Amino acid sequence: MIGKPRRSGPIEKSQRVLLFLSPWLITFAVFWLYPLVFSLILSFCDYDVFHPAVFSFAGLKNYLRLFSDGDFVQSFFNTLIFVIGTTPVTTLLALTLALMVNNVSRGSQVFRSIFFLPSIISIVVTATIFKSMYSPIGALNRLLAVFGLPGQAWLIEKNLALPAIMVMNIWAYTGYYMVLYLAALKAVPRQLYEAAEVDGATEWQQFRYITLPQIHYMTIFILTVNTIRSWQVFPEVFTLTSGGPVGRTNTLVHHLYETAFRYHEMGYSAAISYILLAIIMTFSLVQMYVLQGRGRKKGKKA
Amino acid sequence: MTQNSFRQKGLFAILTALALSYLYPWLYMLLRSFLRHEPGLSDGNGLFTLEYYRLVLGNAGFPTYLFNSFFVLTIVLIANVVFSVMVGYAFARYRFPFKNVMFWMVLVTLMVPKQTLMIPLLDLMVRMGLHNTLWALILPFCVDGFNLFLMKQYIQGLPPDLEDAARADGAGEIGILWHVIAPLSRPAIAVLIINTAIINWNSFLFPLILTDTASVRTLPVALAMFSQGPHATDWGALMAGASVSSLPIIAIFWMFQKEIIEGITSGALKD
Repeated sequence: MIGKPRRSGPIEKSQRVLLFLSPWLITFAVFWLYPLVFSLILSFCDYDVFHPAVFSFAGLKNYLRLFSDGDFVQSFFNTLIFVIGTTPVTTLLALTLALMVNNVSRGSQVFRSIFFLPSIISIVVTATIFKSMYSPIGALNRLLAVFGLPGQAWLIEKNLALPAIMVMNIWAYTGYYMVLYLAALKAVPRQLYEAAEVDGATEWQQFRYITLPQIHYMTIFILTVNTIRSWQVFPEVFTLTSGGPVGRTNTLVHHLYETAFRYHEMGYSAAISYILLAIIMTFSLVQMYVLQGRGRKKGKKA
Repeated sequence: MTQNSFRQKGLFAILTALALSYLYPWLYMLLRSFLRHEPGLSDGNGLFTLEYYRLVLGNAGFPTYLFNSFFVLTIVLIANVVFSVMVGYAFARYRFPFKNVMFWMVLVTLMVPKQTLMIPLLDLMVRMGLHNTLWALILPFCVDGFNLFLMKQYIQGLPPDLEDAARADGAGEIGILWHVIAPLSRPAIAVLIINTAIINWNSFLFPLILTDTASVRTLPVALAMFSQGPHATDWGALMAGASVSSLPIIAIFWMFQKEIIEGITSGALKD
């Protein structure tokens, strides 16, 4: 059963390996593999957890329904807008902040902590604060009034609600990616800049031809991680708007949640979750492929 | 030189402005939670109040949510430390059949979005009679693929000499795990604790779907529910709820900011 026992007999050793692996094996089988497979089966069925008697095979019905379900299509495009509208901005802002924090001679640590703080606080807390600031009599409208600008119903106005959530999201997560960028910037060898200065390279040239290529893999990591996270946006939507107004902030996971727990269509909900899985897996595989490239390159250099 | 100091001043000014925009929401939260602001009280007298905290810590039940969050976190942390060291050690040091396949599966679990597992997990908890208990929020999260990966990588990098010496002294494998591997792995365990604590404390989706009643709610879910209930526009009460939920974390962060930021960074940079 077991390869290359060291001192004790093979049987005892395999029992020990099993014992050591057992927490993982049990968790994997019970809380990952079984739910994953059951979810796939459910996506071809009609089912409600709270009324288990209703359990019937539905064929491809749930998947075909996705195309004709206006709410799903809307939630898909809302999420797409959210991902495209936040991920590049967050990444670019994170890089800008990291460059500034890295170059400032005073208070660097304090700035870093202040920008980073929101990313370890529950997004529900942040959303609650922003809900208040976005309210018709909230801080944002008062600030606008100071400049003589008209206040807005940020979370109620059809065209403002999703951007309002996006702004909050960018505010909340930029600091996390900034910290990752800071680590990458610190790892760039100083000699490269010294050599460039000797050659008379301008600061922009140094950034363009040294810094950017050196932190290239961090950029890819941040973009993919950020994208994967953004596709799953949910607690802030739940807290701020519950998907409203008229579904304008309904995101994929929020729609998934509503389908399962408000309309109790858990088979259909499982089908949506497999669409999400396909999207996330695609980005994960892209990330793995590109970052593995780094491993290979490093291996070659060594 | 003067140009340089001019630039530094500009940089500092921009960063300060940005930092203020990052501090403002927290200040706003605190001020709103301590200041009365009903439209009727326009005289501006008696602004300071503790009534919102009285509500949040009294009828609204936040001490229960704090306890629930803390209870779940404590057990999840202990389990993750013990199990990750155990499993990580097995992956790092033993040879066994299907090892590569199994380790590959550890990584695959990290790629699948948790939303796909949500309904069957709820179904399972209902069948096991654990639905709407804190155990539903603990059991599935006692072992985590990322933590296993972290510990396996770290233990693999440890020199095997100490284990061999302990083995030569007649120590058993569990003794080695406890007395040799665990103490040597302290830096990795610290990273593991920081990452797991933040993720678990802020976890929202599963506590939301696996619990129904207020008595088993954790802080984020309770706050989200609170912000949609009868106090939906009672901003003072909401901000008190938000500050009760976040001040402990802000305080811990302030004490261990260096460790936390380093832990998060090395946690994210998997290799």
